[in-house]
Amino acid sequence: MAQTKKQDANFRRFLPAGGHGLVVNFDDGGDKPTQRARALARRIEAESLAGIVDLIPGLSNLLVQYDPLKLRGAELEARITPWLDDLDTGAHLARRLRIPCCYDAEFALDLAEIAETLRLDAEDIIARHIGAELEVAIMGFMPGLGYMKGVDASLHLPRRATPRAKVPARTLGIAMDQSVIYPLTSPGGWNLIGRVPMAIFDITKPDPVLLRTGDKIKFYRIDKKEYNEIRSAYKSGAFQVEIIAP
Amino acid sequence: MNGQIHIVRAGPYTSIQDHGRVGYQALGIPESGALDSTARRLGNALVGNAPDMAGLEICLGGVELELTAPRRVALTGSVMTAMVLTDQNGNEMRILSNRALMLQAGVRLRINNLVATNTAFLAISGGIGTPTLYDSRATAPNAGIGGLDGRLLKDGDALPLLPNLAGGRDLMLTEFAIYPDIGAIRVVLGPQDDRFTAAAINNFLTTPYQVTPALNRMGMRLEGAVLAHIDNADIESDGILNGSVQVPGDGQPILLLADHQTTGGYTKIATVIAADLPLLARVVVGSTLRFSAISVAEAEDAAHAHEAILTRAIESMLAAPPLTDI
Repeated sequence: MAQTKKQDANFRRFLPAGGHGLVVNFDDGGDKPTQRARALARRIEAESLAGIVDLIPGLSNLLVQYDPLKLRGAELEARITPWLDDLDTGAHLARRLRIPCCYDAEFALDLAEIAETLRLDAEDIIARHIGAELEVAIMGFMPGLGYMKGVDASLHLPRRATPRAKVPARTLGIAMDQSVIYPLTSPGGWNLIGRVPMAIFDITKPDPVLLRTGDKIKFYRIDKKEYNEIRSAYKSGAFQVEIIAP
Repeated sequence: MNGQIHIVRAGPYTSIQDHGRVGYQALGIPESGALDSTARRLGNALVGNAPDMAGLEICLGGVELELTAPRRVALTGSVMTAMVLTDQNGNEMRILSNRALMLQAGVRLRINNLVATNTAFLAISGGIGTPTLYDSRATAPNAGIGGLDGRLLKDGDALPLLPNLAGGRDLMLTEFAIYPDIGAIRVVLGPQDDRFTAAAINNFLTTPYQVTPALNRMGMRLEGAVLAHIDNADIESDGILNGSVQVPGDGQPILLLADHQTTGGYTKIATVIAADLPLLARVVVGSTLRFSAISVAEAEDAAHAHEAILTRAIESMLAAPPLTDI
């Protein structure tokens, strides 16, 4: 249970978003704002409030989209308020995923460069990336993209000054304290250090999105041969990412 | 086989749209759906469809198509734009928007340049039958999902039609209060209005902003008096809505529309109210927008008022006079 700290006078818990959205702000100096935002989303879902359209967790707030024909922002605030001091941040609810990744130079386009910047050996970077357990802090930006926090402090870097026009789907990148896997081929500015063999957004699957907020992620290293094997196994439906349910 | 729509000419930015993917933004899935939800609902009502059925969102115009099986069609989202029908003998007929008609197989339907709007909606009885993803057929071209192979339509495409279950008659719209002039776009300030200077808020609400050519289904970049931040433009990434007005470091606002990315890291000065979102679909490049601020309660009242007008417009639709056969 994470507690809300006493806030300063300027703190605003509720911020309006157009009369069809309400931002519930957890940037109050208390612990675990990301986890509390997520916990509130779970609570609202469990209570099945009429008129809720979507719940979008951010790093330090929850955006509640509502249907103004069915629910008023003021009512929503009143319903939510009593829940705020008693949110179950629920680490025990997290799924654990083991994700294979090939860190070969063919995919790790920026590894040599960042090794130089960080004054580390490329092998050290890989080992430290694999060594950390990451958490999907939020999802967003594009379908299936999870911002995975918890990258080892020795690897923190800004994004590239000039983004690439095209980063291939399934490429693994790092920047700041985070790691992402590009779900689709798209422009991107993250430092690229590997590629995963299976899709993380796949509309041919009953559940196209692999990741969920709160997931705990560990990467494990595969070589190019294993990458190719898993890739074909995935395509034929014979490979699934190992997910340990809570 | 239910027949198909043959897209003879796709136009610059035509896509399959319906009510969109509602409720999946926490997975990064954009909402999408017709930019003009009013046009979508009017059009579907005119042809006897449920309000969420998929039709064509046409941007700018330049579309020609034929059906291989008869269907009722209606063009909405504009009062001034006409459809031009041409039969196999070369006979032409102009049909105004906001009325349904039965389009026979093999008759060419052409929509030239849209008049006084950026988008229009072509509803088809029974709806378009491309595959659904997250309960919707809406195309999100930037995400590569929905519609036909996740892309805008191109010349020569063939779109499957669903069975035409609607009987009834050709309807026409009689209540045009649903097409108000685009006056000041109403916003609620926030969620991060406190990150802007007082001068920025004043600029935003009192000076015009021009719609630049950077206009698509994700949003529109506006240009006008600079909206200065108190410190900087960055926030911890959070959710975005249809209508969010985000302001990056250059102080020029970006108004986000149906295909917007689901999260972002820029301060949002204001949010366009739900009732005025359909108006944004009519805004053309080069025009100017003005914004006025109202309260949350007023925004919610406006949603009820808009719904009442829409309901009245649909309930007051009448049988259209018959057309000379074509």
